[in-house]
Amino acid sequence: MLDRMAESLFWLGRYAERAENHARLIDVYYHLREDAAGSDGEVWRRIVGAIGDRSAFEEKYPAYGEREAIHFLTLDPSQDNALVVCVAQARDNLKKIRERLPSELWNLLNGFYLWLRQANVDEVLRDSPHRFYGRVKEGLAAFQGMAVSIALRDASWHMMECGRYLERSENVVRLLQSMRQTAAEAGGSSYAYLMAVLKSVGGYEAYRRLGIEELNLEEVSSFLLLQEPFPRSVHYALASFESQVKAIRGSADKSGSGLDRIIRMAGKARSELGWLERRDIAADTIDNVLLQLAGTNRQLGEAMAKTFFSSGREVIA
Amino acid sequence: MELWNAVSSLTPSSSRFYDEMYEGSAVRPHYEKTQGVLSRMSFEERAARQRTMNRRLLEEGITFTLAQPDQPEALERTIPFDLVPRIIPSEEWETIESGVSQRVRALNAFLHDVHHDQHIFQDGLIPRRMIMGNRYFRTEMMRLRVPGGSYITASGIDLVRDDKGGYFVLEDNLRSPSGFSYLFKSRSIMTHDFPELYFSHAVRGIDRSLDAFRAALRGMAQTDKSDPVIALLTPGSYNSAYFEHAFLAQQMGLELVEGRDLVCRDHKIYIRGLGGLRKVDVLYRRIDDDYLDPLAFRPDSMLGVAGLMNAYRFGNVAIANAPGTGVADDKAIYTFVPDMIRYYLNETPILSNVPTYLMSRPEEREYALGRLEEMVVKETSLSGGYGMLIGPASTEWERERFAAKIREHPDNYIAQPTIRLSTAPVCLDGKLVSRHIDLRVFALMNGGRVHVLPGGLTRVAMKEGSLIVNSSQGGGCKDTWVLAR
Repeated sequence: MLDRMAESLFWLGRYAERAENHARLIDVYYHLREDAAGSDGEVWRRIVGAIGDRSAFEEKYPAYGEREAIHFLTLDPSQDNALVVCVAQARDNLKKIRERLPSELWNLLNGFYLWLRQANVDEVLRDSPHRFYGRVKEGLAAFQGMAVSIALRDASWHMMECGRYLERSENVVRLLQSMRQTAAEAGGSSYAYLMAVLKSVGGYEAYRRLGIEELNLEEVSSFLLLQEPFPRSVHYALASFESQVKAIRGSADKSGSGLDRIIRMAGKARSELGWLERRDIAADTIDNVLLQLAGTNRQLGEAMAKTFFSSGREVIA
Repeated sequence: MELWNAVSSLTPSSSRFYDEMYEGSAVRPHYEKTQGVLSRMSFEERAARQRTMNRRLLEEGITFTLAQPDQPEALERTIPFDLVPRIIPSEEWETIESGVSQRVRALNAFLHDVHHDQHIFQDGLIPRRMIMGNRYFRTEMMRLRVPGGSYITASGIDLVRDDKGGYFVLEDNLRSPSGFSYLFKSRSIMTHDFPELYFSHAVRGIDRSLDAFRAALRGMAQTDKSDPVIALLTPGSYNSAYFEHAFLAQQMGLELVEGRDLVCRDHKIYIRGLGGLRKVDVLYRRIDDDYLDPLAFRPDSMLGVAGLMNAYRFGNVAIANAPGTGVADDKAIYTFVPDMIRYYLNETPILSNVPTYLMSRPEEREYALGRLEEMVVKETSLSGGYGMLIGPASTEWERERFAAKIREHPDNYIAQPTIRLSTAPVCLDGKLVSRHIDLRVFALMNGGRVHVLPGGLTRVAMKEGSLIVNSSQGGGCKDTWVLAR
């Protein structure tokens, strides 16, 4: 595999995952209109803060409103974090390497992108946002499922999966951080809000099945950090990331120190999570844990870039 | 009866052009089934079917990029696809197949000759200066033994039919012709989105041609390895034909590489991958000679590989098509191809050329300048429908400007009488109308053998009355069926 291909595959995995997380989050937050504490604008302000960049929003619009918020987060091509941009980025990366993955995957993602691009906010609001985000989730799930079903398990596959799991770990940590921040601003977190967080990662039923009695901020955080059997927990994401990187080492013999370092870093973070106990995640320690994990995610991303993507050009004739 | 009218309201095939489907008002026998199926569909059905097909092209990203000078972002466009197939009866195809094969063999022999002993100049058939002064001539290729003796591994020969229905060669594309992918995608669309029509005919399949293509490339490998590395060199994802490059690489299992992925060491070419370097045995390049190697050709090229030509001359890598094939598809050299067929193969040309006047010959120049309004004038080294004057559609002023250019650089121009290209029915918003078409036939050379892809790419001039079929000028395409016996 070539450097530039590794880079495109990695970002394909990341953007596809990010798009899914965004769609899940917007969908759940949109339907969270609890405890009328504050104006309608407050709801949209919180959604924009959880996914996008509030200052960019405020620069563009005088006030927070439904139509503006949905457009800003979902369909605004000028916003780096908007859903449509994530999908466009995934598609552009796939386009550059489309011969490395089955063409059915390209057809699917490209068709999905074309559909999303022509969506407009008025239609979304008129025809039920829930159904719209449902279709987005389905489109991305079809992409992921098709890949699982037919893609060759070679270095290309592992690289794409690396991107996916690192992005997932990063997204969940950021979600928890924003949850902490909201709780701090509101002086506590409501039942409905915590449930929305769990639902946004599709984890509410799993949470209940594990028989956790209470629904509070600490319990939810430790569920999303430590619960290894749950595929959208940080522990699961980092463990998967680690095994995908190991598979790359197995398939290619780039036995450089860079790759080993990534494996060590990911393994360290994963085992630290494994050793954490429920009581280590308390109101006063959780911020530190999250901060540390955010740092690890960032370092892993940088190490991937350094090991795989930077190609020094050499000319020897 | 309304539906019936819809079809017969087709511009009554005027006797000025040869129509592929109609002979006068009668349907030609090989089109009977197709005409029957189409006439039983309503306007709406036809339009809906056509929309489905074109949407699929878009969804699958079968696009080419068109750089627009006034727009910052390049436009991604699909080539309009037409649902009415072009059908070629098997006897007609036999003529085309043997004619194209013959032509390619002669052109290959010619390329070998001009790069070795140059008998054809000594025997006075072609003036030496036409080759030696040609901008595509590469001295680097002199006396080089090319792998398998094939200069032209992949070629595309453009054919047209005149008002009598005879096939003529319009031009040869021997450098890196494109369009293969459209052939396969067109077929895939017809089998999936119009199965009742496709499966009611016995059409010769094209899938094996990919095997033939791969075999032709593999046959060029100068190595004993059981699995030689074959790579397709593309200018990158911003190139207009990137879809085709990705398609061919994927379908034939080639490595798709850009110049920056390759490195030359000890006169060998390697792919620089995460797993270390891997030696390339065959390079199917889709970039022009000029950009192949900054050390040999254009020093500012970022697309090629420094040292490639040396590696090639050392025999460590095979390049398809060989550099320098451009001398043989020059529009002025084209005139001599029938002579080449007689000279090298001692055969009678099966397909004729369109009569062509060389502007470098004074009497032919004066003849053509006297009737520019009936002529098509082309610049010899340009392709893609650029730099052309179409006499009947031109203004007085354009003709005067062209005449001045011709007198200034007579060597750069040729003139041909305007061919009344054949027409075929095309579905526009459900209505059937007739448009001019041509046919690009693809040939693959493997050693001394030539494989001609059954069918080819039928290009359509989508504008009414227009004769320009190039995709860069808004041309469309049709699936082309060769009927099995």
